[in-house]
Amino acid sequence: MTDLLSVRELSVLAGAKPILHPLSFTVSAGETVAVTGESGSGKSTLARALMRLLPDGFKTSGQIIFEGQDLAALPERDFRDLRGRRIAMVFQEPMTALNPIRRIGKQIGDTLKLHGALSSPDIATHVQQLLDRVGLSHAGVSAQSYPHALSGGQRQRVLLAMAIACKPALLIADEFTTALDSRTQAEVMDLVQELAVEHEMGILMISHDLGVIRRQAQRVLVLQQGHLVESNETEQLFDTPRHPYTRALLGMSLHGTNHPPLTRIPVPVDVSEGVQP
Amino acid sequence: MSVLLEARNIQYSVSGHTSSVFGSRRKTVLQDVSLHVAEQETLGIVGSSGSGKSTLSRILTGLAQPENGEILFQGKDLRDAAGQVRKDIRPKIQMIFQDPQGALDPRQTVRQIVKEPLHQMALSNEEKERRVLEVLADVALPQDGAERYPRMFSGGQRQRIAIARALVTRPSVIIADEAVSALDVSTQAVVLNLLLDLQERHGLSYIFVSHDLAVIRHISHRVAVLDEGRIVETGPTLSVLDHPQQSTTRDLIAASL
Repeated sequence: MTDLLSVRELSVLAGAKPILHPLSFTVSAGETVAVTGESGSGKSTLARALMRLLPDGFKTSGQIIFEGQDLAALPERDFRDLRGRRIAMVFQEPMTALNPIRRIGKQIGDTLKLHGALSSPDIATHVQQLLDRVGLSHAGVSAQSYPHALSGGQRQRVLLAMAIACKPALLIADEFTTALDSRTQAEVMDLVQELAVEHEMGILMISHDLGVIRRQAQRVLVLQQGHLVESNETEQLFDTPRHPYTRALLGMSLHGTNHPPLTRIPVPVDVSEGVQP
Repeated sequence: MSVLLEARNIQYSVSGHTSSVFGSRRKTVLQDVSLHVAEQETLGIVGSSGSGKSTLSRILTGLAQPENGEILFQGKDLRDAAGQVRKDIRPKIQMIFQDPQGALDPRQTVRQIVKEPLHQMALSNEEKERRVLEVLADVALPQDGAERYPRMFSGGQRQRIAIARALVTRPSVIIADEAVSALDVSTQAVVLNLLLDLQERHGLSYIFVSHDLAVIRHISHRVAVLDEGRIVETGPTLSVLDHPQQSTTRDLIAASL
């Protein structure tokens, strides 16, 4: 497989404070790579750095080679053309990501209008195809529906329809299914995987949920306080974690492990919650 | 073990938008739900979104009234109980929620937040102050934390503040609605350990409501599976989760592997 995305020595500073220490990794076409870690590990900063969505005062250095060009060196204007078209992102909060007073068909159509040269009737047809594809038409949701009429899982499907509208090569999903219950979560993630195969789309999945990661990702990166401490194939990482932090994380997780019920979970002192000043 | 809190044939519905040839109907949220928790026992209630689990926890804590059915605490029907009895029983049933951030008033200090449930109780102020410090120690929050505000604490510590507030009335049963779902792996482990410790120390019962089967499996003695407002399966945790009899339970397990 060829690298779709190759991140080289990427680091992020907030003022003078390092948030991400230099880290490198790749994502191939059709591959799902998970980034995990706890609050403050820098996993969301990583996603936002790749999408150039960090607030003022953050400084990014290193290379982000995507489809052969260095995004880090790309002028903002050219980057905007890529964002949404070749690289799409989906977030956790569907209620804030969707405009509550616009019909979902219009919102999906906006993405197409922004990036494509489709005429209005073509857009309507395409929106309908997208709604079919993400399973919303089947659930009785139409282009005329408003976000508030939809369930949490359905709203995530709308976001997914917007994200894949332009057939991006890379999808960045930041805690995309965290707010959903397990069954809906599994359905939405299965859909993401189907789309990944269909479009040969690479996925960078940011999640703290080791259960979802084990189920969905081919490779996993573990971040601890801004450092990439381990990266490996999913199966190897879960079976034979090498870094002490990965071992601690897996040891404390209830997913995919066999803790005796109703007993204390061993929590290493150095990863237990610190008292904030 | 004797039964502490019991729900019998709970019925609950809301006016729905669904209309049919017969006109608009009420949407049933809970249908003939019966369950109980014994002293020092943890009952896990699992179900997907829309299964009715949050409504059920609101009814069990008295935040919502069922249309039909009874809630019994140590055999006393909470609806029939006379004013004073009910006043005595209410502090015995407490609740903790998923989002400690939203459940804690940002303008109040930890002391004010934790003390608040005591307002209804006939206790001297010294006794109330004493209890606040006692429960803060119980959940391993530093005593000087009492004068601080929720925003000065991490997510896991805020959940401890919420647990301290639930403990301050010296309850017999705590209903926990997705209480650890939003937490990081290590914080979740720390809070679950704390809840197990508190159960042992104070002989607490828990009703643990969650969609997360791994959490339910870890903390519950018995499980009830809720689907579309009905309890479809109930029994000892491991027998239900390892040998599910109903397709709903099997689906839930398959989705959470």
